[in-house]
Amino acid sequence: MKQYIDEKTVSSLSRGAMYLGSGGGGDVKLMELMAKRIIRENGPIPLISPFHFPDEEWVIPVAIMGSTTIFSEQLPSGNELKQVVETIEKEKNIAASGIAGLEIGGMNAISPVITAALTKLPLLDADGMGRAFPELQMTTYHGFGIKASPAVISNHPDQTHLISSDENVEVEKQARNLVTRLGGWAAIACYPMQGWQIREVGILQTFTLTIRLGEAISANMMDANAVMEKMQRVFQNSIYGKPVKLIEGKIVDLQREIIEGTLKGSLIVEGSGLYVGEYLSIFFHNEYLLVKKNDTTLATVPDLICVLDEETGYPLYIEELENHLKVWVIAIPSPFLLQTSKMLDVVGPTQFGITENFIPIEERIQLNDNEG
Amino acid sequence: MYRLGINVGESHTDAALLNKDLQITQVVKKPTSPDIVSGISDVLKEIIDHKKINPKDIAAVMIGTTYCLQTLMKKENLARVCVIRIGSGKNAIPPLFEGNESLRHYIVQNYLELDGGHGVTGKPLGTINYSIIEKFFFNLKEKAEAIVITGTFSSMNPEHEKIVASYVHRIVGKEIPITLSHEIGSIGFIERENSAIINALLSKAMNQALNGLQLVFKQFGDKWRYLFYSK
Repeated sequence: MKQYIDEKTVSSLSRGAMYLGSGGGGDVKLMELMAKRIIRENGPIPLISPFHFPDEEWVIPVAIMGSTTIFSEQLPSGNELKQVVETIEKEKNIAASGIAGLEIGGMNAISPVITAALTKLPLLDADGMGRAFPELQMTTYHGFGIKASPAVISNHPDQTHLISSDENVEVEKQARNLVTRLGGWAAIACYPMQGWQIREVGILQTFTLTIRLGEAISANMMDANAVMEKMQRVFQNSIYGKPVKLIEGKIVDLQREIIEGTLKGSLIVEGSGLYVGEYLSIFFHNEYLLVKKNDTTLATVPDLICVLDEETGYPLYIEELENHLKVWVIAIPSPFLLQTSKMLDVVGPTQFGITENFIPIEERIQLNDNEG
Repeated sequence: MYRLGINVGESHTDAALLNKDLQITQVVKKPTSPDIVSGISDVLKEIIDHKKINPKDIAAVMIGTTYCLQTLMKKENLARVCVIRIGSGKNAIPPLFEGNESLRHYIVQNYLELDGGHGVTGKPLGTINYSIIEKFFFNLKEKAEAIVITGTFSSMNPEHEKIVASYVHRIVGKEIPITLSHEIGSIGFIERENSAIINALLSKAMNQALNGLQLVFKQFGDKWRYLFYSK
């Protein structure tokens, strides 16, 4: 069965991707408009299952990295994304047969769509994070042994920069420096691989899932309650688990600092309704990372933590948080692949400075219930 | 001393006169006129002529109206807007891309993209090429009634928007209103440009309304200070 991404699908995809951003991942709006514009001109983009992708054919993941604020002022032309793919093809002397995602959470759910449209290649239904993460090596591609190199970066219609290193962490470091030097954001293509590889190392069918999520919650006049219900239905039958509500209440404290261009801090939610008398602390750095109730940990990365606006059910980016806002805090169990020991070495709590082992949200809930 | 509040709604124009103790002393209701001005004039007449209030005793007039929204919804009397962009991604998202067709219809099809604008630190990203501006307006087939200028990071450094504006004024004349995005919105190029475009679309209707109001106010023989609110 062949699926296509048209303008309407792009709306659903970006709506869904906001939830998978876990508070980060960048605003999807600009990317959504760019994608719609290109699709209006070039027609819908085929979305193909990794299981129907030939073993030996090449696929190239793409993303935009850097500051989304600068991105929102210095708009891309789109061609940067096409160029980074073509430069990798030249460098490796291959011809790509598909584009894949690097990060399904936030704006980078859409950058592969734009790339696919511009390169006239199909989009492969897979990504390397299953959510949003801040660094290039925080992918299943890296965790399961794919080389990021050759990686190509560009933020100018006719200029690309090549990064080669056997160490993926080194690629991230060089790319990050380069992006800062180039003015704040850039398109990147990296982890070129073959069909049989992405089937083993990718988080599969995340585009279809995100589109389904977006479609389910596309109706107007929804609140957090209705959105949660739809989310539970969509995620229950997926590689993620059933989302869990942690609290509903009001933001009563918000500490937010900009450290080296990234947002770091915490918020406290004071419970209301069934949760009256409870206080939860949520810690974030680019994304929401940790939820605590007094000294008990309720959820940690890589499980996805979302803060929903109670009135609209919209997921709040860290930038959008405000004191006194009424919110729900929920956690979505991460895909199993992210919970393997290899991946926890890359995206586990310790990677984010949390001195705690990862315990899946589902287990934590049972533990806490038994104790309580 | 009195204060006068006027609300111009879709169907009715209401006025309330407040005395110095902020007590409502009079309320008047009249139908709203299509140009909004004669409706306001009717209300004023009622208050001043019929109730024998001396205009000099009115310290301030405040007017609130949904006129702008009405104008946008009915697409009446909108200005044809010409868009100039400085610095940002060429042609990634056309002006007012998300607006509906009937609003976009008022945007002059050709828009001008210039090198320049500023980086996040406020440093210029390029230099303005004036001959391109001149050529653009020379070749422009459609008549523009208002102009919008948006520069990359103009909220950090509005210099390029201002330079281009003064140059454009020299070419097209002073009468054509120019909206500079940094006076309208903050960070976010497309959002800021959209707001500036809305402002420019309304410039014709607003101008007429304000001129009309000035005439009406003169009729009552005074130089009132007034505030004009729109929503």
